Amino acid sequence: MGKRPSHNGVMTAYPHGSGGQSLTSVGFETTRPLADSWFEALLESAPDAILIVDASGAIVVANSQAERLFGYDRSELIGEAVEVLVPEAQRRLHAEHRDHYNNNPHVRPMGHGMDAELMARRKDGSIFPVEISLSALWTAEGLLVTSVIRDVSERKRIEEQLERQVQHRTAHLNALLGLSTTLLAERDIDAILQHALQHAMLLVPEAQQGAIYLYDRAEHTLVLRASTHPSLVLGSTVAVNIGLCGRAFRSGHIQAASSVTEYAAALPPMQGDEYTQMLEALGLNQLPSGALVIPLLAHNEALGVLRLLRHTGEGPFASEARPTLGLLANLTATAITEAHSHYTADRLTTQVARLEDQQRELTARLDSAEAGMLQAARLAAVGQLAASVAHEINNPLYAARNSLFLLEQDLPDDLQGTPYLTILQQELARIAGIIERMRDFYRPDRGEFAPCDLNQLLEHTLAVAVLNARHKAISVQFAPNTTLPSIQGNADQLRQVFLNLVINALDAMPDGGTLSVRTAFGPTVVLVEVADTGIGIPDDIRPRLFEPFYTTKTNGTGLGLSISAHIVTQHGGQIEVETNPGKGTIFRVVLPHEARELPS
Amino acid sequence: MERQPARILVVDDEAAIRLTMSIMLQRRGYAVSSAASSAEALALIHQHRFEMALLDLKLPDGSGLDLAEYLRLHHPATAVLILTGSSPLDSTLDDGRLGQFHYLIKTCSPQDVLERINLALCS
Repeated sequence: MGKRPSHNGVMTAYPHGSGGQSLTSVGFETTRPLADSWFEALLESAPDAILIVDASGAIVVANSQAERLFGYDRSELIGEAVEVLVPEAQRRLHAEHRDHYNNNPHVRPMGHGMDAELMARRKDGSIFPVEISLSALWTAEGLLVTSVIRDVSERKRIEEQLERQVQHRTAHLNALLGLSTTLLAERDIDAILQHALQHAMLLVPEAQQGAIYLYDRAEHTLVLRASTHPSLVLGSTVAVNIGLCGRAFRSGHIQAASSVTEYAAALPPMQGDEYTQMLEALGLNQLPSGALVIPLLAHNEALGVLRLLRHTGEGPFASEARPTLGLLANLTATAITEAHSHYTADRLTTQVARLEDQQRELTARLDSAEAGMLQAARLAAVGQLAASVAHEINNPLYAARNSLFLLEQDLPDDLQGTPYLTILQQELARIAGIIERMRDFYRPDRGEFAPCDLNQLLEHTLAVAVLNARHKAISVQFAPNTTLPSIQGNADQLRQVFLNLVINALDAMPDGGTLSVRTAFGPTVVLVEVADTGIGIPDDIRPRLFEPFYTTKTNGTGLGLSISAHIVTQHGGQIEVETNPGKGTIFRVVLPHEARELPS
Repeated sequence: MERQPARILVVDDEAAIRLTMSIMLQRRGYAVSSAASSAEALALIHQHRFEMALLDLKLPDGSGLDLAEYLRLHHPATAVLILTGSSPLDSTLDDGRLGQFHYLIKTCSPQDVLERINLALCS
């Protein structure tokens, strides 16, 4: 058997040289003292339990580690079937495995095959995980199997703990991921803080109180915005230069205290009342035995702090959860920033939209007001100008016409009837006429208002105008509403308005056409419409249509429409124009017929 | 017995108007005196009895309306016609008094004036 190669010279040498002595019989009381002592020393110095088992499965050698490990005395083990050290349920299987091994003995190191699940049984019946290496020895007495057994319950425990921690961390991270979705979708800062706080409390089961303070820039304090404890009043403040909260906020680093002493060390030195007040300010009845304050950092700026406190219990506080809490705090800070920027953006968007609305409304109002005011102001200015011009011109004009009157009488007979004299008289009369009309600008004449029958006024006006139109191919259509209510007005002035409109319409149809005049009425107003099928009004002229002294006619004064507009305005009405170049123009005069109030 | 021509007082601060009016009226057979101010007019009124007075509204030393009122009060037989270059609603004149008198605006023709004078003197 000695020829058999072996990994271990000592082991192989010993049985070889045992001289056919049975190990079973000798135990450690070997007849070869030197070799025996080596063997014993070797067995005893081994860190693991060692058993040598013969082919029948009986234990022939056991070291003291084996005694300790299994709780048996060596004397109890020697000769006993090795299955006594195997849990009952696995004994049969173990015996089969042993037979199988004996048929095919080989070196089997630890950590191979089924080792991971191998269990052993102590004398007291308790079960524990083991790793076992096997090696075979051929001796004169037959096969001996050496097994080295190592208790791995501690390693398993650590492994399981690690596994648990990994699972724990994974759970934290998953929860954080879930929370991040909630937080980042949330727009209400208080809701964000509540979520974050609840989550932080879950992460640190030993924490008994949680609170979140946010920095108030204006007041330069930390303001309580969320808490798990009713004794903490929302809105209460903590100075940024006091305690762990202040430190965490200022430094941007997590601050921790594992005992009352450590917590107190962070507070400024205080006496009596100050101390009580400080505790009150911190929302505490007593100093906590554990504290963790995490800054809420967004873009390296602290927005506030998350504070967790432990009142009962000792030792390191929340050390495992710190990395996760740090992430949670940053997430919360980001969510706050997001919510704030969203809020700001929303508010800005709303404000911008509102401003734009106001701007548009204002512009529209201004445009129409400006147009109205411009025309009114222009008319008023022209009215005043007209009045003073009238006065300045009337005196010389009067003297001139008187002189001409006398001159005509003094002319010799052969010069009587000279066309120049006639022209002079006519042109002076025309100047007088222009001045008369200019003067009309300045004549509200409210006192002279009387009921007017517009249909009748129009009929007379048309009768005069048609004389003008007779030499042109113009057809006149008059469609009065026969139940038209009368209006309060100055008939002469209104006649002038309609005459102006009709003359303009005729002038717009140099090659003939149709002049249509109709009247209609509504609940409060009457309408006079004067339509032609003429050349229309070009776009560039339209804005200046009612402007005094603006004319496109060679002989026009530019006063017709401006005076008309003035008169209509004085009557509390308005004048509108709708034109289609090349197709014609419609002027509409709208005048109130009841419940009328004149503009003051 | 030949009838005395009607005496007419023309008051206007513009010489051209005083002259032309005087000639026009004289050619119609009226006896005409003219004055360039209220003071001159009052002096003439004290000297003569006028059938008619043609008064400009704006005078260098007062309003033609004051003269008109004076005449109505002291010489009710004198017909008054006010001639004005301004709009009747000119703020300096619109004190409601103009409407109490006959008036013409100076955009009227010479014929209009003569007609109105004739009308006033006949009534």
